[in-house]
Amino acid sequence: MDLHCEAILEQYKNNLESYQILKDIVLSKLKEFAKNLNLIVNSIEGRVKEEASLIGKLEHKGYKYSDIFSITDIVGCRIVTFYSDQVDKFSALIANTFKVDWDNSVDKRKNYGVDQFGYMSVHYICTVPKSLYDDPAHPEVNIIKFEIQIRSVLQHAWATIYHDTGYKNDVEVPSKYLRRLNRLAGLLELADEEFVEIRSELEEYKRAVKKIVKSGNLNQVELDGDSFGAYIESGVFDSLNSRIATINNMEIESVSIRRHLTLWKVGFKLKTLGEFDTLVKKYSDSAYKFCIYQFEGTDIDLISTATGPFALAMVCCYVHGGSLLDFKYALDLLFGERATNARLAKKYYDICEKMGLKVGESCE
Amino acid sequence: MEIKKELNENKLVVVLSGRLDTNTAPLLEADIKDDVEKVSDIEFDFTNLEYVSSAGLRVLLMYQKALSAKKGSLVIKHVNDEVMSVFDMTGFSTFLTIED
Repeated sequence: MDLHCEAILEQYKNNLESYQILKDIVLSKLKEFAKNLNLIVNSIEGRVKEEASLIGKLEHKGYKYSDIFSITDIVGCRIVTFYSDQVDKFSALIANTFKVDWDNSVDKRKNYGVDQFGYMSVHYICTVPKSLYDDPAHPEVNIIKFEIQIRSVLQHAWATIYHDTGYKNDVEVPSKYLRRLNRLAGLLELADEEFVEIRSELEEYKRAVKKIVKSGNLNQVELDGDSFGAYIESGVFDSLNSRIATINNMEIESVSIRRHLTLWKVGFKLKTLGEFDTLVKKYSDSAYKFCIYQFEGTDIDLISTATGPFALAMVCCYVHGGSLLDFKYALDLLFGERATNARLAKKYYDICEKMGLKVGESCE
Repeated sequence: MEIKKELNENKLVVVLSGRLDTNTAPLLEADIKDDVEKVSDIEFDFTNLEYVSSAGLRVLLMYQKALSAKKGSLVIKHVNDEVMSVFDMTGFSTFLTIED
């Protein structure tokens, strides 16, 4: 390294504390953005360039830099989002919060022609304004330029693997492999857009399902996680659970019963929410009686919102002509395979028999 | 009820024998209260536990919530038919982690 580069390296060492402060400020702000936007991202990371890495850079192209402050990636932060459209949400906040050096910032997404594909990421070169940090002991913190990269997780995967090939830019890559890498970039761009569309359509679907559940046209609704969740949230088991709670003046703990869906969909092969609703209406009274057999005379005075649905499941298993094996299969689907399932299947089956339940009929 | 416990760094293993009911649930709570604050994971061995009443369920529920809040885990092992039936009927099987 020549004297010029050694002087830059010395400046770097003198500013190490400020770099650390700067990195912490920027990282904390980026994490705050994610929280305010209510976005879950793949990662938000930051680093101060290692001395060895800076030496390598100076040895390679130190002549390009007048001093340490003209190197803009000593402090670097990266946001990796799950969806490509989240990149713009972060971009807007970065532009409003930091002082952006627009001449040196770049949106690689806009660099490509209509027939070109490759590295897609947004790079901002910024400084921290005094409104964000102002400490006379560290004035350099407001002068040092830093870099923020934002990209989707698929763009990140492509960039990381490209980097792993060891080539610094497209010129170095043998044309045969460059074509294949760029072809992959195009494929991932398509996948990125598809993920955004799937997410948007799923959100729309959830809203639509909630409306239909409220309207009561349940036969139109496919039984799935969203429709089942919306149906349960509508309080369909509230009256059954409240009635069960009267058996021993019980307290009711609220729990999720989403995992019960597997039993109804896979075990009972129900297709629509309407079919499930029919069973709930037809067999709730029997489910209550099943609980009387279990709780009456005991000191149990605590149940959960899963109690009614569980009793309903056992009753439905019996009235659908379920054998002991079917009861065990139902328990397997509800709770996973357990050593007790076969014996408890017999216990629950026997209760249904004692209740006088008939196959295909509700208990009056 | 007999309580045996072993503390291994972040994990507390509690072996219970007898009945976890109105009389014994407060004893369990008092016995492991300080340990629970130190750990992120609790494993209950119910091999010799004969019965759980609502008081026992409340203690389990309290620990489940406390550990869940600090991203820890509560695992119950070797549950007999009687106790498992109480878990099933009360709906506790739906959210507790129970292993053979």
